[in-house]
Amino acid sequence: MRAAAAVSSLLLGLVAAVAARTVTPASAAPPQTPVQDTTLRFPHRRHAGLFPQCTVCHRGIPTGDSATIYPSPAACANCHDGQVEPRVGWQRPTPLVTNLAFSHARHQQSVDSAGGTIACLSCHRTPGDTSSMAVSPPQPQLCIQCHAHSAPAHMDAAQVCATCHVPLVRAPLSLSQVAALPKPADHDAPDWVQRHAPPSPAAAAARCAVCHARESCERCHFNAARIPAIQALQPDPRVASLVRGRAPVYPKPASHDSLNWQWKHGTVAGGADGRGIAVTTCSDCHAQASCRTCHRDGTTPAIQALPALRPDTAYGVRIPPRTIHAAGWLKDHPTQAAAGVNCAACHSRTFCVDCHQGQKAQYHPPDFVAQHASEAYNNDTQCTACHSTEAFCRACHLQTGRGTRTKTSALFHSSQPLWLLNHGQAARQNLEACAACHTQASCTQCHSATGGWGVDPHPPGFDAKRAAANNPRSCLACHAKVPGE
Amino acid sequence: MTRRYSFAATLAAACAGLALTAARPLRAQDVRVSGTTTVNYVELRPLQMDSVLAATTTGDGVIRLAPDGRTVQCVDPSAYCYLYSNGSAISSAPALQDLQVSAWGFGQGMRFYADLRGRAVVNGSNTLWPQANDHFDALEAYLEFERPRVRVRAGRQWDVSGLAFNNYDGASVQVRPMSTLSVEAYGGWTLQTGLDEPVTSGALAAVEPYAPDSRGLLFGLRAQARPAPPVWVSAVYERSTPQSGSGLYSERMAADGMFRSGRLTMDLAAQIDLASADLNELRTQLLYVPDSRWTVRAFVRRHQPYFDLWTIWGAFGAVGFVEGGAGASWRSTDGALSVDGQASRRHYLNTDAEVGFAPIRSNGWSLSGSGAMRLSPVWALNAQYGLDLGFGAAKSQGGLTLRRALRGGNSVGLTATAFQTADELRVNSGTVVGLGVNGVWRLGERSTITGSVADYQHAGRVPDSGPNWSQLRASLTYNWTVGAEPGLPAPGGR
Repeated sequence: MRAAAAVSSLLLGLVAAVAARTVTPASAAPPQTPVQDTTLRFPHRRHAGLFPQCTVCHRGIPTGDSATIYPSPAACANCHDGQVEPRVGWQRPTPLVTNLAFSHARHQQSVDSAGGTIACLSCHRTPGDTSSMAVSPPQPQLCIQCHAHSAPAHMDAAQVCATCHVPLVRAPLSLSQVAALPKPADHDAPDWVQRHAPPSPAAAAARCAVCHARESCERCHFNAARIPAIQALQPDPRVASLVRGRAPVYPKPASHDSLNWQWKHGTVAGGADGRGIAVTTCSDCHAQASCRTCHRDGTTPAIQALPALRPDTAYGVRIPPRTIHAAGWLKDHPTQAAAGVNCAACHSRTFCVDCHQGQKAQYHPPDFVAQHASEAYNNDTQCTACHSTEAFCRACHLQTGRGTRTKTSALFHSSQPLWLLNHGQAARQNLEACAACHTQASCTQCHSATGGWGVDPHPPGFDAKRAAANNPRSCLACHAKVPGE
Repeated sequence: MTRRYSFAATLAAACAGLALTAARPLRAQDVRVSGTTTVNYVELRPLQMDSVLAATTTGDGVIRLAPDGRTVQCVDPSAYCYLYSNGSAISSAPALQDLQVSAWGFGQGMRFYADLRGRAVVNGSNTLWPQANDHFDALEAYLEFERPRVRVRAGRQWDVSGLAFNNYDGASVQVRPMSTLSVEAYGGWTLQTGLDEPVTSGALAAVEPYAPDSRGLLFGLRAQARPAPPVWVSAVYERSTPQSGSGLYSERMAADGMFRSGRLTMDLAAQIDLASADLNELRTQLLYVPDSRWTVRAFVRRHQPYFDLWTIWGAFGAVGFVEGGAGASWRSTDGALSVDGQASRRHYLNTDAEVGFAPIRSNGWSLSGSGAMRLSPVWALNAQYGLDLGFGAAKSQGGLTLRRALRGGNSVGLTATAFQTADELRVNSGTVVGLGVNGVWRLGERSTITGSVADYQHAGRVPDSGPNWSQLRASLTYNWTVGAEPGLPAPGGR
């Protein structure tokens, strides 16, 4: 029994220091520890029967004495002296670098204190081989048979990694070893990024911290300082080196593709108290800069609640400028603006002035001057919303030979040979177009009771008294006296 | 005198702002200045009256043909007949400098804002660009005091309402008793749309012999409410009277509303000329979004032009039109392809001036479509076509734009366009074909250069039968911003 315990201890000592890669069956789980040379160089099976107990050679395993974990070359030379057996060049293996938290001594003590027993072969027996000293490094599946609680497999999503592994910041792994740490299968799920957040700081320490450091999170989370689970992780220069320059990943939640999201997102983010989920959820991906692409003023509480970017943090989701308005917005926007939709949430006043002030060329296409007549006639967009009919339209038309200060030649309207007869209908259908080229005096040359031909331009039912009450001066342009006086 | 007064008021507001800016810095006091420098190059061929000897024309009566086939007008017993022909091309290179200054921190809620514009013609004619000889304008310049429930502004400011987007010189007080309701009263002196000057301005008098001789005094009252999140409503009343003398320049009101319920949005707008008892605009639109790819819309509109009461136009009995239309938009789920189409038809009301044996058109319709396709992560293609037929003018126009996105938000595009027009009841011939390039180059987070140049050739036209639209147009714009951004860290260097 003692021999069996010794053999078990010996093998445990070996296996605890090596990785399973070279002996793991192809169908087994991914490697547990970084790539290292873990070949068992000692031919245990050829020495079967010589050593009744593992502790004959691995005496330090149960006690934790590192000097006697492996046999010394002199011990081998007792037989391999060149006469009884050929000399061998046995050297104690270099201790392997690992992130395992396993200690044979503590493990033995815990078993002993529980009143149990455990043999070395319990963990170190080569699967499927019952011969003596058929040993190999244990596989993680063996560990989790006792320690995994409900987890079905090593690196399962329910696994508590810290049971067997130390946090990364305490693991003496090299940069390349850290980079080669295996990835649990659930990390490859399509929605992993959306649901990767640990439920608590303790969970982060128990699972995430084995492979990740704070910089792992800060690569994307510019709000890392506000997230307790991230703060539960320690910074690590190796991880900092690995993530430096790697672009953050911000997957788009399904809600963002929902109907009218561009209109709803403010309410969702702001909530009833003006802050809503901005801090708790939006700020995982969005800083104030995300909002300011559109919300130029950025003064709403929800935006103010988001973190501002700092040079040493991730930049958050960059939202390119885009048009969120539906087709036809150009016609709709006066109503929406007047009704009180908060245009200023996205646009500065200059945006409106640039068009409505009517002198900058950026609003219309470069060739608009050659095409504008149909839009002016059809009132597709009201020219007078931005332009003075007299000082803008007429001034230009006068300069370019299209307008007239006096009576014009009917030849200008060359498609209408009976223009003198037709112009009344045309004028009443679109008097603004007439005023864009003709002064009021052009009309009063004929349509005046005092100086013209006395042609009455008023429509049937014209309320002269109302017109006079509104502005008597305009009556005097054609009449000697104001009606009713 | 009036213009001097306007300028003095603007100058006073600007000086007050600058004085505040230059005052001893207080905590959280800062300023931001944004500028836009634009240089354009435009060409145009003015129409000019020309003449031929009456003896060389063929035909009888007023309308005859010149020896080269052009239509001429001959008024007996003149020895000459007249026609409009194209003059030689004239060009202009106007430069505009816009400055927006925002300074804050002079006390809680105090801010000074100004939007200033300078103009000069760098080269060529100074008659082609609007107000090219007016070298300075203040589009806005006001002091503002804003607290959660109230906002007071004094100076030149813009008024956004269902009636107009206009600026005026005066003061406004906006009270917000609750987050869903605001009431604003404003008043001062009116300014002409797009002119930044009063109705007594020399710019208006130069083109209108009956321009008023008295400035307009403005009073307005506006209320906006959002009783529930998907409902917006507003109403505004505005009255403008001559500063001296009796009568009105205008008395109008407007009501606007917008209602959104699930996938349906409805908006409604009305403008009423109270003085003339005319309904100038009544428009409603339904927008239905069945899913994230489709948008369907339909609208009905009644429009009658509005004229200020200082003009005689209102006495001419303009009738306007009614219009109805519908359209739909579709985009693919990944946004790589989108198309939009719309059609509308309008009908002018009875004018009581129709000539039975020589009617002119009293209806019109339009058809338009556009599409955008993302060919690759960096290439995009846009196409659009529009057909517009009406009684006074018509247009058939199509265009293509190919754009390539470059690194850092830069882009370059190639644009091709072709169109035919009939305008001002004139017959034009030929097709204008244009080709242009444009681009955007970001020099940093707060500095951008945009430019475009396009050449248009009026092909297939009968010489001198109508306007010749062959021309070259170019534009170069530099946008920049310096200073602080409220709520953001100060940029480097500050």
